[in-house]
Amino acid sequence: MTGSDGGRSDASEIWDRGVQNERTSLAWTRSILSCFGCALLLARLAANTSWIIGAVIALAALALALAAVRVSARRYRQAASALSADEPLPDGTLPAIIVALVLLIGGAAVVFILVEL
Amino acid sequence: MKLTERNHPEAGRRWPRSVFGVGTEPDPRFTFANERTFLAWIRTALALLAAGISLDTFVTKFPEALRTAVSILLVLTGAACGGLAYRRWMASERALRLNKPLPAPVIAPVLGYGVVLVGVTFAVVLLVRR
Repeated sequence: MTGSDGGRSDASEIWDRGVQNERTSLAWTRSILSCFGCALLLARLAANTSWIIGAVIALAALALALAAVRVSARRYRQAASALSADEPLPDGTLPAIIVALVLLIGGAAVVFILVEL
Repeated sequence: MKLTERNHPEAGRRWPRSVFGVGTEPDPRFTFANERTFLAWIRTALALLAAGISLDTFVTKFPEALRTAVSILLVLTGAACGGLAYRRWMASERALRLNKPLPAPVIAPVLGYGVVLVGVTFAVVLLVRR
């Protein structure tokens, strides 16, 4: 891009051309929503055994989902400032947390499926 | 001293150290792409979990023992996908930092064989109970 096209005189001004950070943040939002949906299904499964356990799981899922949305928003801001300052991007803590949640849901699902028998 | 820590003193705090303690910062686009690929695997894992849980919760016209077995198979495949997705994310990020080739997709066979097994079981049940 040359300096002739009006306001955007320099290509370096739009350095994040792939909108990488925003796409990644949206991927986090989709993943959190999927995780929340899955946790609600788990709550429904658990309610077959005890409705109290089901309700507790559903409420915990809601609280965790809201917290996760906030944390991923913070991760987006952190990445945005890291990009513009040429600093390191966020690390692997949040990925590890979502994997732990997936394993937790999986383990609990197996337990509730077997308890029902 | 490692190259990364010389460039960015605060980089030493990034976790896990087995990933961020080696090599140099890659192009940020690759790091973002690796993270999105990881998240796509996570959603695949969650879809498998949802399928397993829903099968056990909502499907009634299915032999009970077989339903339990297929449900657990789906849930375990999903959990395996989730765990392997993290390992793959770590291996890919390391490879990017060390400028090495990306790892082979070891999760693909787990997913493929898991889904085939479930599909064949469903087909057999549907044929037998027609």
